[in-house]
Amino acid sequence: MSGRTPEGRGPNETVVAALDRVRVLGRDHPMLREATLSLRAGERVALVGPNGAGKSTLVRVLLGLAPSVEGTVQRAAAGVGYVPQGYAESLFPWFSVLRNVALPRLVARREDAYDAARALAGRILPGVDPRRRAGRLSGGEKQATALARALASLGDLVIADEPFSAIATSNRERLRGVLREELGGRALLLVTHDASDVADLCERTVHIIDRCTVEASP
Amino acid sequence: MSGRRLAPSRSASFLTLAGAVGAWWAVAQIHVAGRPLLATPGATLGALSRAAPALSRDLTATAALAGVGLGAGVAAGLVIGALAAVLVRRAPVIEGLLDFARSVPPVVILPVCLLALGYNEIARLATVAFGCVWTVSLAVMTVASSPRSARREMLDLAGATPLRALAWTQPWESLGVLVVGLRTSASTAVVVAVVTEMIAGAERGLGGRVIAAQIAGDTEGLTLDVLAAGALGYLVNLGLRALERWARRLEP
Repeated sequence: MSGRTPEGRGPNETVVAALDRVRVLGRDHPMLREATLSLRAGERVALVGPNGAGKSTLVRVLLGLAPSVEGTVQRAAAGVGYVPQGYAESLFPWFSVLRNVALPRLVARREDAYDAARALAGRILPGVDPRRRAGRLSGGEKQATALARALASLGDLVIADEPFSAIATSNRERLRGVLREELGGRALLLVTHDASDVADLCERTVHIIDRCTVEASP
Repeated sequence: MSGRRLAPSRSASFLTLAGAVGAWWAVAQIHVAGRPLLATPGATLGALSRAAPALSRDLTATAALAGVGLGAGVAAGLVIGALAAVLVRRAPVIEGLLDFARSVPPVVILPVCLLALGYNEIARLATVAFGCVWTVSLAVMTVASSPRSARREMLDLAGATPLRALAWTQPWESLGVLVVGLRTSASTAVVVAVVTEMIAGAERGLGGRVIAAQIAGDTEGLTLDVLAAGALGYLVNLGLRALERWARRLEP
């Protein structure tokens, strides 16, 4: 649906988003001490670490949704696809599933917004009527809708913060497959605790330990 | 404990209504200082058949006073609330000031309005509007100063203009709070409208009818007017509860 094909995919040197020695302060303690991360076009990177390590904070800084006090940030460009950890609050419950998925393309005034959304919803939410209001979906269906919306985006990067946490285990492998295919040539930053996600989807892993990033060897 | 819920039944509802009418009749048999406390249901129905045209005219006048006052209060509340939302981060005291203003009983403002605006409908309207404006202002301020939602963030990331992002989120996200504020204000508007008609000697309206019936010692007319005022408040509440239920369904 993205118009990109997995064939010919592969990271090139164009950086789509990056952090360099970024420090983020919370109210009384640092949320990130020193975070460095670079995402090249087409690259698929896993961000892993224990709960509270600062993964979601790093993502929010990268998206420009949270400020840093030190270091340099190259924000993801407009049009980035994003599945937030709070996926339910990010949906528009008064809109249909279809309109939620079409949203990034509607904002970009693309004529194919609903066609692309219909195709994505059909793949990611096969049993769900796309005319149904998003507020009436179950938790797993809401998360799948947020994933479909991220994949409908037009940018070069998709950032997914634990995108399968509410999805039934039996469905995860299928959705990982859809994500892999629909990403096309876009870069992916995947925040996850699941080793299967990393193995299936990512070629590089970055750990956050004690609020600092550590690059792992492949 | 079986935990079984009793199903609603028409006959039970009918019996309850009949019981209420019976209780009304029983209270109407009580006489204090040689006069009945209330007119009987039959006498009240008789009064209704005699006074129906005048009563409907007065009911309409009170409803119009409450409606126009509410409209003026809501319009002013939207403006004041929006201004307060801009100020509240720098001057949090504004929330306390609005809350203080809301705590002033609207009826005590009536003499101020009568002095300033004269014995006329404008003074009564201003009092009703005063009763509504602060609740609406506080609701609007709360909504407009709330932190940016996750939905706004999604639209920003997608590259939506601020105006579009606002239009796609704010009306829906604010609906619940605004409807609750509106419902509270509408109830206040009906009460204040009737009271201002009672105090300031209105030529039309339920408040004026109640006072006239009391002076004339017309128990039947007084009972009828009390029930008519109750019916007006009840209808307004029913309408606003339906609006609130609709808004709650749409709420995030």
